[in-house]
Amino acid sequence: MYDIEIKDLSVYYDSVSALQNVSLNISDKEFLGLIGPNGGGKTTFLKVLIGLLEPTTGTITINADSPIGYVPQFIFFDRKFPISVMDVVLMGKLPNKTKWFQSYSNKDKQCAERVMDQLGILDFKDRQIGQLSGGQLQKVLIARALVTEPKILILDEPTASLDSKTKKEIYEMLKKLNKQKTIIIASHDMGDIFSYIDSAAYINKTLSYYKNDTKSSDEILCKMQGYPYMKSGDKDDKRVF
Amino acid sequence: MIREFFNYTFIQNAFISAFLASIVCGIIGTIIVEKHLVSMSGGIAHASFGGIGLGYLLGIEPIIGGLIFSVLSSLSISNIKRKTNTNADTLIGIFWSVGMALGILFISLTPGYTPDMTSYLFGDILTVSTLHIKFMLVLSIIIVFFIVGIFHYWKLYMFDEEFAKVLGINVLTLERLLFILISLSIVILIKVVGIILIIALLTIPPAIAKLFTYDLKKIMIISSLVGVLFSVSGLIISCQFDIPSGATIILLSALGYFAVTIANKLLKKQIF
Ligand SMILES: Nc1ncnc2c1ncn2[C@@H]1O[C@H](COP(=O)(O)OP(=O)(O)OP(=O)(O)O)[C@@H](O)[C@H]1O
Ligand SMILES: [Mg+2]
Repeated sequence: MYDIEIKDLSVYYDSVSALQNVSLNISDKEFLGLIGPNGGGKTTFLKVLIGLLEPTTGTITINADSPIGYVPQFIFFDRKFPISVMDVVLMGKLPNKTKWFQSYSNKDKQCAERVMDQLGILDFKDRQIGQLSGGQLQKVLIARALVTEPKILILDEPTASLDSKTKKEIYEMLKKLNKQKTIIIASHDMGDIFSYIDSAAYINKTLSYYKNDTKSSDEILCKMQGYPYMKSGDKDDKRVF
Repeated sequence: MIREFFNYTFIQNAFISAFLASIVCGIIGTIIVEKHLVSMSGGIAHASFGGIGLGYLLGIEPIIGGLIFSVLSSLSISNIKRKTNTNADTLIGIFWSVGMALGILFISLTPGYTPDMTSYLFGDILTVSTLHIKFMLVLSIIIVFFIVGIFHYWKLYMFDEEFAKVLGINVLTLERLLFILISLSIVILIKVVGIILIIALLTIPPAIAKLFTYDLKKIMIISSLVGVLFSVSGLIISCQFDIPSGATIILLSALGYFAVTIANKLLKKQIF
């Protein structure tokens, strides 16, 4: 049984086509990397999976009971909003069935603190959300997605504003989580993610799917000609596989 | 002497309504400011004038007409915005003036004396009746119940709607409920400070409270207390000097805001 089954998916923004006839099955505990140029449709693809966008045509079946964990590419919230880091992370614990006069339990708080500790942001828990650096904020969003205890975790360029040491930490952590979770990650850091992912999908309106073995990674590299982020990771990839 | 003063029912009513209005302002005003709904609230307030006019024309309680108009216009703005992708600001502007225009039209059509509308436009807290107080009390309880009851959901909705959707929370219901609560608050405030002055009472207390804390709940509590302070002292001053209560409360609040902001700046300079 697949975790996610996508059939003939097309997405249009008014008349602009973002995805065309995409079909893909994602297995349980698969670690899938999404790659492709800017505007290729990665974010669009992830948003339809989560249900933030409606598919124009086609169907998506999600076989999971818990909500999907989601780390967005861009934040739309107001960084001056009066809220502490701890409260942002705890939001992941809100049940979708409205419970009246409810507060977060100690168990919820402990869970949030544990995840924040793993990500190295526990020291900032009482800060207002705007008093963080871009990378720290990114980690808060990852923590918030993790406390929902999702079966499927979706991350849209989660490491874009992180330094290389932190990037590696995050990937290692994802690899560990991958033992229990299905993970889909969009990234431009080709060189970095290739050693972690089981499969890759190249998205540029259409989707091509590759199992991650030496041969096909070469094939992907071919596709990525002229794709600037490739150059740095090029050599590493060949060594890894 | 003060005792005798308080023995008058209309004085008691004035203080009770100032108190209720301040609590509501503290809670709803904070949400309006943080969710960037200030002009939306201004629009709803002015749209309610159409309902007040209609109330006079049909011979029903004008405030009930105002309530219906403000609820309907807020829900319409949110619906039209979603269905047509029209800029919310544009729609607010339309509802704002159309509401006022309808109010004026209805009143001119009202047979007999032309009623004096200044108490709705600028507030007249000394004319609040006991029935009106009961009405305000019920609305205040409804507002406090819904905000306190699902406080964490409001916080999430205000902060990050997208994530609320990801969690499977019904954001549309929250939006509609909030717009209804804002409409109820506006109706409570009309008699106290009037349609035209409402926005200041909704925005000044949270602006002051934000200088002291970044905790949403505390902002609401401090705003309510600040509101009580300004509206009660404004009321006393206006009685003392026989000047309009609504305007006094607003000017006092604005004065308070500038004083606190400047004091805050000076204090910070001294520390560093
Ligand atoms: N809200 C929108 N309205 C109209 N068109 C959009 C919208 N969002 C995205 N698009 C278009 O859809 C296409 C896919 O965009 P998408 O954001 O999914 O790309 P992406 O692969 O995530 O790019 P990036 O690497 O820059 O994040 C682009 O052509 C873009 O212009
Ligand atoms: Mg994107």
